[in-house]
Amino acid sequence: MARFSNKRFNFYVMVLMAIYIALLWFLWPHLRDTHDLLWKIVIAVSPTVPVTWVVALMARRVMLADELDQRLHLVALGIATALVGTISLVAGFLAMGKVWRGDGSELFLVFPALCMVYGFTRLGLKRHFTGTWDFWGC
Amino acid sequence: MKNRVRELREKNAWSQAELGERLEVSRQTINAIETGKYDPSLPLAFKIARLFGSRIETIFLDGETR
Repeated sequence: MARFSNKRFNFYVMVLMAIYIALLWFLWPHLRDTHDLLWKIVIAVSPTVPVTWVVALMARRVMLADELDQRLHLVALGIATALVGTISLVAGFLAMGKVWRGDGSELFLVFPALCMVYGFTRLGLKRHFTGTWDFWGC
Repeated sequence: MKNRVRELREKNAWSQAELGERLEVSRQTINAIETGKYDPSLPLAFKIARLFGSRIETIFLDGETR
């Protein structure tokens, strides 16, 4: 497998995120007017396709990274998963106890929160191990 | 763990990037090893030893042995 250059990787991610935003802006508003269940499902989950593609690109990038970089990715992912998982658990119990009345749409925030905590943690680890703030460099 | 990677690299007049290329790791990984912030895996440590024609224990110094 060929290693991704930062430029190429960033280009693919930018294109996929542009598709994601376009789907949210132009396709999602049609959800209310659609009555066919199959189409409703297709439209509702369509923004997850480019995001899943980005996750696959990131996974490929991590697999091709060197051992220090892989370690930074895994530690950051572990910390992010533990933190966001704990917060989700607390929120779940609050919802079950009817203390907090959510409609389930809050689940939408779990993935972006995971990405955010992962990103900041990785940045901090990178700074600690290599002395740089370079997020993507590996 | 202390090591002599920087000393051996400088003896060969290689930059961190050059050494990284020879070992197939990033320049930042070499920097982290040299500053003692990251201990390489056993396969990488053997690779470093092979590259410098030395034994692992003469490059990576265990602070607890006397």
